[in-house]
Amino acid sequence: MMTAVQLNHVTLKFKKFKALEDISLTLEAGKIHGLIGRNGAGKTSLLSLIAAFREPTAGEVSVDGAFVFENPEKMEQIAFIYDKDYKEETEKAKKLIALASHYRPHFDMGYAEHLIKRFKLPVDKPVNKLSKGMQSALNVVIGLASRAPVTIFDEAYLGMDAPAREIFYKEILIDQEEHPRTFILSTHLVSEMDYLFDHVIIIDQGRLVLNEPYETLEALGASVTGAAADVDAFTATMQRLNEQQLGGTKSVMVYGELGETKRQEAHALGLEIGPVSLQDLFIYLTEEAN
Amino acid sequence: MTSIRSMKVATAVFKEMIRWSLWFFSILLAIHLIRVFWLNGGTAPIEGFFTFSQYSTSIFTLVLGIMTAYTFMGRHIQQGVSRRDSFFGISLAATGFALFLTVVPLAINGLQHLLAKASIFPVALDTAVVFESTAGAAAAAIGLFLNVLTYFFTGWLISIGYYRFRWIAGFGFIALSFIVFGLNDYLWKPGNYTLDWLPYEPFEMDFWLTVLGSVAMLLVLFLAMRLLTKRVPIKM
Repeated sequence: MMTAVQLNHVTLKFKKFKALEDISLTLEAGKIHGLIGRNGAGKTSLLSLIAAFREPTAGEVSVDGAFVFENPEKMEQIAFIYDKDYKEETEKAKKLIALASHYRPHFDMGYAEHLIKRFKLPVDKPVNKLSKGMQSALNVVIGLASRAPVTIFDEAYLGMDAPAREIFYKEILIDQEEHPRTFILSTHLVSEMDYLFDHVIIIDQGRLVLNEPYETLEALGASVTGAAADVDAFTATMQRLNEQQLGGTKSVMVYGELGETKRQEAHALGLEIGPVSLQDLFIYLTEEAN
Repeated sequence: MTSIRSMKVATAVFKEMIRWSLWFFSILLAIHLIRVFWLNGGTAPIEGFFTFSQYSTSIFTLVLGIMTAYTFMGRHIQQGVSRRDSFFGISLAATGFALFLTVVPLAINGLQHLLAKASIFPVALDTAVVFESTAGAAAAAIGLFLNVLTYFFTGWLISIGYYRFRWIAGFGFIALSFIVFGLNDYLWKPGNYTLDWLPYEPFEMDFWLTVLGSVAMLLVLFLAMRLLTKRVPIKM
């Protein structure tokens, strides 16, 4: 069930437009990967290549060392859940779930029923009559219960309210404990989902901007909190990502590694050093790339 | 050629097609019975169910073929099925379904044939025409089976044209479908076909020559569809 995905110098062009340019990366088996990018960055294009929805213009996409496109053994291992247009889908939700169980070798109907209850999904309703949030819940039920070794959720939460999104996130973590697989979660809601990620990939304008384990992101920047004047003085020569002030206390996110000397200097000034937020890092890196 | 995966596709697609056809046959049979019992137009004999349903059945499969690219392929790829398995599965389901669409009207027609002898209909039914044609019921069945399958693949050809190449090129595929229908008429409708510049009428010459021509045309359609679906990007 542990499956890795490799992209090797992948480029995707639509006529003259380059949706992806020379992307090489490995998505490690059994980890939850966060794929982050602004609108039109190429996230869905990248995921559609992994799911063999299309072929790359150049480069290779492989799963456990074998090319994925038109490879039945590999395609079967990938579930790609995206914001599907269900306007014309008159089948009942339970029919689509049954279809997934027909095709997916690891589909767990018991788990699907558990998720249906969790999301309060009305499975006897035609899918086009469901609310947007419920359509997303249906996608999530199919995606999670398929238990595909590579499970991709491309902004699968669209239309879900906050409690439903919370159920989604919790179920990912619980199921990952019991049935580990390779997850790829593409999202805009960085601050809401960052705790899920083992690994973070940021793309912008079709290019890879960041590809790091989540725990090493701390080294890419820091938050400096303390008396406003001290914080301003301490961070004056640094690249500031974001700043917030409440009364005399200020918190500034900075980009770049803080060395031991700097940390001791901050300590001496009574400043608190914390980890940089992924959201700020994402905004900074994608702005810088532009 | 048929893997477990393509068999999975075939069974699911076949079930779906049967489900749709139950509606189709129910409506068609209701219209036929209304015609037999109430709108029979006097004493002249009217056609039995087999002849009555032939044209509608072909159009029905044409519509199913048109729906295929949009309804089935994307769904299969999203469920982790390869294009190859999807293609062979759909083709297998369509062949089984064409057989079903041949057997059902034939069985209803046979039933009418038996009931007509018991004089339960208010008007004479020409049910025997199927059983008394050049080569009997088998020839009628083979003819309908090949026609239905040709219409399905032609519908699929039109839809993959639109799906893959968008609407302007899609018109080109409609034009291509007219050529297929012209050739089909040439093979199966003596004296009533669009390609009247062609030298002879195969159906009049030899039934099996017509069958051979029809099978050859289906093979070309089958190969064309495989080529067109082999690497098709899936719409999202």
